[in-house]
Amino acid sequence: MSLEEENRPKQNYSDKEKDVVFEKEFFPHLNAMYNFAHRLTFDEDDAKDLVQDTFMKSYRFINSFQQGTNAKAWLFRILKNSFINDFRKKSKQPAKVDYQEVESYYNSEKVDKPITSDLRVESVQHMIGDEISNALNSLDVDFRTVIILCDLEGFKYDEMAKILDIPIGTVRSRLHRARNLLKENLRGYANEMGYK
Amino acid sequence: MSLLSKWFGKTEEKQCPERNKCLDILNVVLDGEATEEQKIYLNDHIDACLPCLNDYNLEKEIKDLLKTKCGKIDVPEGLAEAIKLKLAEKTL
Repeated sequence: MSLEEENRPKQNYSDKEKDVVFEKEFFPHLNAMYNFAHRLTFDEDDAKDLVQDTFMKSYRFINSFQQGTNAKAWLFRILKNSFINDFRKKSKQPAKVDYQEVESYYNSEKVDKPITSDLRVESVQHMIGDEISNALNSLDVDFRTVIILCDLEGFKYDEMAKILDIPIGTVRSRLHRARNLLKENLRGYANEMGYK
Repeated sequence: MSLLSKWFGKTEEKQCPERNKCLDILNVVLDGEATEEQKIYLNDHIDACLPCLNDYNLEKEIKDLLKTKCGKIDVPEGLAEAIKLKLAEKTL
């Protein structure tokens, strides 16, 4: 569903009201949006472009935004869509991953089987930021995204469902798989560090 | 293996028969999305099931580490101004 086609009452802000909404409800999320963009693109210039595009779109479609609703989730949804539709096409990023293909692969018993039996709290506690960050960054973008939204940004499942345009059940299963894969990466670091 | 080490030893030798279900519920609890029923189930369950208590502690630790160690990336200088300038040009 495009931003214009959203099934919600259209607002009719005056130019002055638009500026107020932008300034008070959108712009304070600059920091979180830049962080999200950087964790998607891994590149400062790309992240800047993505954030700038997102703010331009948010202003253009501002009448689809209802004041008092969740501006951060709305902006993150635009950013995520811009990343998929505009950005990935022209960047050096790998081609869009087929969700279904990925999900059916990760649905297989091999991955769904709990894999963390030899990862212990003590070994994770000794990890510094780099290992956690690298473990997160090496996940496929679709799995990385759900962990960023949930654990770093604190979005609720229903908000994530709206941002990602997927049902809540898929949010949960994707998170479950993302966390298993993250733990697998962490287990690799733990082994390198000599922990079991 | 002595009885004690059997009980308190390596957790990987014991598995909760419902581990996947428990992992799912404990994540829902940690994400703050659990129903009362799920919270009660988990509380009762980890009182009795050491592998799931370990899972709970591990998942909680990873969640906390993600939050605290994946530090915020600073917004590059000039980005905020650039956005406002571009917007001003567009809306003129």
